[in-house]
Amino acid sequence: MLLIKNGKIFTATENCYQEGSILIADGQIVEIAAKIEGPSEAQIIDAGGRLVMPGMIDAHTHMGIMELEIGYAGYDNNEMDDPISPELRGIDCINPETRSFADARKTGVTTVITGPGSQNILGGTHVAIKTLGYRVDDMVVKNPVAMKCAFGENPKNSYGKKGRSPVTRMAQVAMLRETLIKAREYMEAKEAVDGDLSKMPPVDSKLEALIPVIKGELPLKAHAHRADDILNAIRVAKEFEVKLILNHATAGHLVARHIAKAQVPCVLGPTFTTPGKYEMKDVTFKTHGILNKAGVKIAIQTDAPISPTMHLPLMAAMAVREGLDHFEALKALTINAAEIYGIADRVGSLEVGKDADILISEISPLQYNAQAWKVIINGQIVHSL
Amino acid sequence: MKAITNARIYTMAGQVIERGTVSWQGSSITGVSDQLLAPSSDVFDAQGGSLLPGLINAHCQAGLKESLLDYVAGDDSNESSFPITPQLNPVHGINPADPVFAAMLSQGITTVAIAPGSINVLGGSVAVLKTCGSTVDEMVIKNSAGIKAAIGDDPKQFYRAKPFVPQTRMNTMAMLRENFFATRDYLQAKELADISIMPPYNAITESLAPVLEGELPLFVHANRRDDIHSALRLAREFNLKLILVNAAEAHLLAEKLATAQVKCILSPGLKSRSKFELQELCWQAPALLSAAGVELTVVPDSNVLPANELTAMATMLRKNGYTLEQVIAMLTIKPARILNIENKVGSIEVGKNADLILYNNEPFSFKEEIKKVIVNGQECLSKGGEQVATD
Amino acid sequence: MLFIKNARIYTMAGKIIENGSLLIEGSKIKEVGADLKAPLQAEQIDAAGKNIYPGFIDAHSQLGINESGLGAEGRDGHEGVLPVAPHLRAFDAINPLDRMFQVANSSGLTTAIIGPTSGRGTVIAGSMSAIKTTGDCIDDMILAECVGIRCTMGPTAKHLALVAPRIPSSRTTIAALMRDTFLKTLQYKAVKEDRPQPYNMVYEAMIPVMEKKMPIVVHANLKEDVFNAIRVAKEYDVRLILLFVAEAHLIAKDLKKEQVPCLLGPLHAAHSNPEVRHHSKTAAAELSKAGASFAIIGNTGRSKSDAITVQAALAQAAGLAEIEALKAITIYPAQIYGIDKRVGSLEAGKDADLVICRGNPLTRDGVIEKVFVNGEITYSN
Repeated sequence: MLLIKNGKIFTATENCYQEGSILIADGQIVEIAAKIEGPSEAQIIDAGGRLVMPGMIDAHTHMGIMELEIGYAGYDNNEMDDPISPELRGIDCINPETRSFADARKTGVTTVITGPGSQNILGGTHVAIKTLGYRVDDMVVKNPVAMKCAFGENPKNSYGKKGRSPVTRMAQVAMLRETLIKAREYMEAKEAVDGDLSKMPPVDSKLEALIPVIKGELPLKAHAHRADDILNAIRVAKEFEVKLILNHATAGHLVARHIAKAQVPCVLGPTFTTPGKYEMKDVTFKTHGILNKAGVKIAIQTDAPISPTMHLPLMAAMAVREGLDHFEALKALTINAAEIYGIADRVGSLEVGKDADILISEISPLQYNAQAWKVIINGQIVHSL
Repeated sequence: MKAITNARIYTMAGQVIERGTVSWQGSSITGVSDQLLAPSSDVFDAQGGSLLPGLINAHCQAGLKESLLDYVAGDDSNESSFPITPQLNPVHGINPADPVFAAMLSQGITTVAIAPGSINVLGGSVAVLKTCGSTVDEMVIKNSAGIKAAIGDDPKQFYRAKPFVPQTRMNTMAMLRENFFATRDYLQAKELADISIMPPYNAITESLAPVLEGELPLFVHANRRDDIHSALRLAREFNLKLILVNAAEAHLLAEKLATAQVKCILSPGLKSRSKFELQELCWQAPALLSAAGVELTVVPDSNVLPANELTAMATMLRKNGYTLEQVIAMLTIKPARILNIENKVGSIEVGKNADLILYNNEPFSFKEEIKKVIVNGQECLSKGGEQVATD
Repeated sequence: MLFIKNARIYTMAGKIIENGSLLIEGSKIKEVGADLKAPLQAEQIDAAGKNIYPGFIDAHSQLGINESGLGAEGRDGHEGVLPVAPHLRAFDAINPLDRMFQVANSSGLTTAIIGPTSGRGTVIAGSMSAIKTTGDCIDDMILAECVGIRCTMGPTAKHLALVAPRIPSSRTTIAALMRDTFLKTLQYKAVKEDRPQPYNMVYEAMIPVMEKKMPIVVHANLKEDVFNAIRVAKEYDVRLILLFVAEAHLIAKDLKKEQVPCLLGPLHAAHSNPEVRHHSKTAAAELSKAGASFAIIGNTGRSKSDAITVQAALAQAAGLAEIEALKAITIYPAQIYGIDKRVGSLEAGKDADLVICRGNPLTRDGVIEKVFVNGEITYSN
């Protein structure tokens, strides 16, 4: 049992702070009030007026998957020989003890979304995990949260340059659509015989993996930087009536009204970067504020280890400097990411019944010199300054 | 009618006839007796020389791997694009103008079995030809005496470098079994189906069908004991007739091979033991196998036939347990039986092909000279050793 | 009949018998106990002052499949271009004349579990066989044709993703290939029960795995890969045995909870590659403490072929009880592989595979004097 007293609490359910206390038991939040008389056995944390907010969520990473320290043995980010690989699952390649996770905890990042990269048109599923643990199965918040797909230069570089499809954006979209059509037919054939293996057409692991996408249960998470790639993703999602999340959406501010009209959430970043590819030429921290004001739900990513996860709050800070509202930035770091990925029943805000994932910070994490004072995951203190 | 008289006849069908006559009409032998005939234009006086059935080389790549041309242009002995090619027939790759045929004739070889090499796990059929003729169509006496397979080092060394399959002995055996299972399914499907729902024609399973049904043997190139055991295991599993080719370590398993009724085509050779799996190669091997009751023949080591190769082979055999008559049998009636062509060749008997070699004295003695080689009743070689043109 | 008497007998099935005797008839143990009478027709061996153990069992060996002293001609364990090949059978590629069989046998090894090996590009490698270590024809040496299907998870199975990518170049693909094979096998089996279909060697080989009659034996060293293996096995409810498990000592409780047996070793590996950088000789002791199932491998044929007792001794020095160390190379591997009706302990009805030793074979003073396989002396000092 843990009792946090004297906190300046941002619950993420409202755009304001409230003074008060939080009682935690069995890894969950059991009470939030102005004053709480906790049971005697509760360990008391006097926040002394410090900011108390939900643990942050890094909304897109490859943590545990690209273990850069040990070379190929730790690199599992993409199956490099098959552009259509939806049967792959991010959970099958995560080393939860790689250094990024310790960095995340120290920063106050308590949940990350991690999974395969963008070299393939369909890359596999992503998973939401806590940043504490040695066995990934014990760290899962939700698995899967999304099916990764990719538009733009990356698949073309991986395959087109080797003389294999996709060479063009036309082929990318065609191959994705063809696979979704086959998945729909496969699903219907399977349903027609109640899934009886002896009567079904030959089983296909790739099409099996896409059934939840076709049914609208699992969103497509589409890597897209350029405006035309963003619109390609929206068009395909609409055609197949599937849920869509836009990953990066670097040029999203140029087509904000289209994104808003389609009501597609965007996971923005990694913005601390010079545009290394043509498709990133419009990268700017202004995107966050523009999309937010247009009514698009946004979250923020570091794409760790591409940029270190400890810069997540700093990215939000830069977005505030360039026009994003302060509280909207804090929500982008917490409840928005949770809602986008369907894990808001457990994380993203401080509410009774949710996981006790909490960041206590001297000053707002949106200040450049902010440091986490205490970080709590599942009701356990995992970092103290 | 033509005849050779006053010869010592090694009929390979009973006792040696000390002095006798063999007559033939067209391509068939019409008479074998101890009577003598008066010499004439049709009756040749052998003057006491030895008359043998034409010799049989039971396994080589003659004409398929040509002796004069360089690698790509002349080598058709292994379809090395893919390891499973039982549907191929060497007849389509043999160049009868290759000097090796003249070389064979000049040493008395009148029938030759030509097979693909040992790179493919299943390489193609073993074709049987006479060594005299200008087109393969006239030379072929049996399109397929069996299917050639290879296990052990050769397939995996080659395909590993590509890289392709097989890379290990495990997969070599698995690929063989897989193809026999597929053949079994194919035959069952054919039996059950009516013409409108026949399975699509499959060249591989069609070519393996007679092997699976026991009509044709599987010729397996295998040297090491563990590879020979693998061949035996395969034959047991699918009830195959098995002939081992090369089989450098066969003599160390003589009893087992005799019990399993496996036949052997050995090539102890006169060169060094060039690969690890040949380290037990020796000239004592044939006698050890014969003593255990294994049916076998011996073939020359290589594709080109150096002068006196057969004499050297015969000499090594005689040094290692065989009499002259046994050596001759080893090169005539034994390979005829192994190749299942003894209804036509292998011995001097009425009704069989008139394939005859006349030596001026004792064969394989280093002092002998081949005076005549007759194939299908026609003289193929004159005394000078040049191939006589046939029409 | 052979009557061995006056020995201290480590049966691995209950108490150690002091002044014990053992009666061998044909290839089997007829009787073992303290006060046996020698039958009149039995030949007698007086083993006074000696110890008798069941013949040792190497739960993971490369004898004969990666031959000693040879290059590519002798390597037949890794069919590198086929990621999924459960139908390959180790015994089609074992050369029993590899002299390492004799070396291993003379060190007390009587049964070796030999299978295809791990390597780049190979996820499901083929079937493992239980082989007696004496003989010239493999068919006569097979104790069990298939005791498990050998798999590999982790970096060893991957192609180099960024340099020469081929399937599989990611851990996700390795898991996906395994699941895909399980799913396709289930369909093949369902169709087979319904109507005729073309024979498929791959799925035929996997059917016993899906029916839980046969385990998958998975090379996994890092914790991450161990948990990946458990996740994949659980999804399709197949029996799992883990192999090598360099980080076992860090997750002993999890291994006990998941009830996954571990074949540990080799314990003297260098810390040179990322998979085994945290390995520890305490692995066996930790698993033993946690009550988890384990055996100790010798990796004979690849590691020194007289080393299985050395492996057990290293584990003992690091905290494993002596009797557990002996069980780890006898009855435990036999039970884990389901061959304990025939081997692994000295009991009436089991194969007469045994070792007579002067002194403790786990110490350097122990000297093996005689080795028996199937009731025949295969080595005598």
